Amino acid sequence: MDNYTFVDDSSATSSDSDDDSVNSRDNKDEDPVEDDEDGVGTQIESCAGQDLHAMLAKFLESYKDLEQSDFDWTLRHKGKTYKIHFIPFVMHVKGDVVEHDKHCESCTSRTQNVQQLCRHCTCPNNDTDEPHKRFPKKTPEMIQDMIDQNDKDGLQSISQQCLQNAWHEIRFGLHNYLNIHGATPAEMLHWLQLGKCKYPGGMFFTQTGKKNKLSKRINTLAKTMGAFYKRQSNRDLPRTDLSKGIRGGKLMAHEMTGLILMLCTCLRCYEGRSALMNESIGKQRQHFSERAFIKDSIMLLESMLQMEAWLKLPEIPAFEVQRFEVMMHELMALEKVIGKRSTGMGFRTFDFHAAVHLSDNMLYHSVPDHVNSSSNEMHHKPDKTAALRTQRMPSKFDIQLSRQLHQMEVVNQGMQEMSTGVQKWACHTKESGTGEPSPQKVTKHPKPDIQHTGVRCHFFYSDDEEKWVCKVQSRMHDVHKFKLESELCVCLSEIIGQLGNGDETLSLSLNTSDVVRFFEPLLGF
Amino acid sequence: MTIDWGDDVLLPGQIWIFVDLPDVPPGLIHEPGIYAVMESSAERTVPFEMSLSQIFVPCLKETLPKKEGKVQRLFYFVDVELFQAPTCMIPDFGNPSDRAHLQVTPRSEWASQFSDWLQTEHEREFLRA
Repeated sequence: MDNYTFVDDSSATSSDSDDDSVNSRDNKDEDPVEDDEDGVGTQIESCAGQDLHAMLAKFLESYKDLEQSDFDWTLRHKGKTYKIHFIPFVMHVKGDVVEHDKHCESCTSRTQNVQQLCRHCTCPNNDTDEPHKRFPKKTPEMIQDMIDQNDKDGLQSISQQCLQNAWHEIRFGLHNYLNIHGATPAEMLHWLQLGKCKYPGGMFFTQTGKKNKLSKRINTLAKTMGAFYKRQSNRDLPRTDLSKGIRGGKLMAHEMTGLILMLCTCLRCYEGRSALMNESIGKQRQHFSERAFIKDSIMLLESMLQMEAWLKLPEIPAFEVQRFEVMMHELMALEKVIGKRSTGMGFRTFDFHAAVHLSDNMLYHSVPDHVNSSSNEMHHKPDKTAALRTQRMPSKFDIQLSRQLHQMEVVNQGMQEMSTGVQKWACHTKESGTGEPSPQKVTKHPKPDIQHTGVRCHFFYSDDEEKWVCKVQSRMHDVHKFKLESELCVCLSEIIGQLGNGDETLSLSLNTSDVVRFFEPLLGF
Repeated sequence: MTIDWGDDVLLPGQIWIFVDLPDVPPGLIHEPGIYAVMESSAERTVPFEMSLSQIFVPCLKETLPKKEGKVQRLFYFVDVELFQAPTCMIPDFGNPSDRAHLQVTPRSEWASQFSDWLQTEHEREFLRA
């Protein structure tokens, strides 16, 4: 970071100057070669990208000193003390696609005029949608040589900006020599959930047509299915109750899986399948006229669901990761054949191409969950909630926001103490040296008893009405509308008969939900 | 809910209502406890239906013989101790049989399905190519 300078914006954008260049105000007349001799290095014109790296260089300055000197540390671990010599290195940089591009000084534009869309490799724009082609990776040496020679054309040909990269002087893992260019892995939140998972829905409704009877019918079917998914004993399902169905509305990252599941369900169920096959007209018939086509679409969607679940695993065998590299090409080919994406740049997108590098990234940086920025993004959530509780007046916003945040935190701490008995602020009472947890943490609250929840009712034979009746003990609004199906009544009366040997004065105590809270029957399984 | 019917037979069923039986007269097979009135279903074995999907398993609810041209529900009185695992089943809309449902494979198994596919030879031939 020490061997470059950059000029102020004013000099770079000045209309008086023909030189858009490179020379700083102070060293305008000096030869760049001389700069090198003086240890000043190549001079880069000021721009937003270079500003970012200049700031990064400043932030990393003290770390860089530490990195060069290494350090000794007395580490206390599991009750034992170890003297360890630490050699720090950067494993990876978390971030979204745009941020990663900036770290790699890659061109952030994604249009068709850009030479290369990938920050990892030298894949030409036209080959970005080719799943089976591999290209040499970008290395810091390759880029730095061009920067040192001020080879702007060369840099442009690989879609790199002419910047001094702050990361090039930082030590990364020695599993490769790619420096920052190999340490910006595509991650689950931005690449998969907010990127790749958006494509299937878009491609499907492009094939059905955006505003027509068929797409409306599929969307309505998806909404109906969503309600059924909501009423299940199995709670380990993605959110499917989407207010606008699968066709519209802004969805959050965790809802994308639900969208794919809903689409897959619509294709799999009889009504959706037959609607697509029998009611498709015109161009729609190219995509849905045969049962095999729908089967392919189901396979693609299911593969995406399965792949997402697999990528979220805490541990993945290395053999499977290596196999994934091969099989991912097949999945990409499948997506191309089925999706037939024609909008925008088709499949010539970074989101599509990044899957090629996923296997390498997993071998370099462990499972994708390890580099997922989801937990980092979650930090914004309390701020958003607190911001909504302010008066939203600029003059008072800061103080009100901080007060609300503080109050929310106090309430959270209190609730945590009530539910688990753990007092976070009492962590200093932990006995030092023994490694034993404090007595508070050992205390466990007894498990709650089995609870009867849901609507409670009594089922008995009414002499007055001369029939089996169900009396509901509830203060719910439309309690008079609650009734049991006639077939169920017959079954319950038979049970009473069996239990009482014909004595019809017995009654049954019923609950619509019981034992644990996730049993919510009546509408679903 | 998946019910363990014994002999390694696990079948999904729809719970209709829970019955609390704190006192049971002696001489009955039932013991005091909580029971559920539910329908059971079995996997369909139609090859085409089975080949369509890995995640959705086609099932058919068990019924009694038709009475006056109408299908009769078949209820079971099941001890909740036999509950094996929660499950997800949705109706197969539009299916000529009203009893047709789709059982959704638990999400925890999706990853292992993908692992299995990775370890096998190439077999996901797609037909549109």
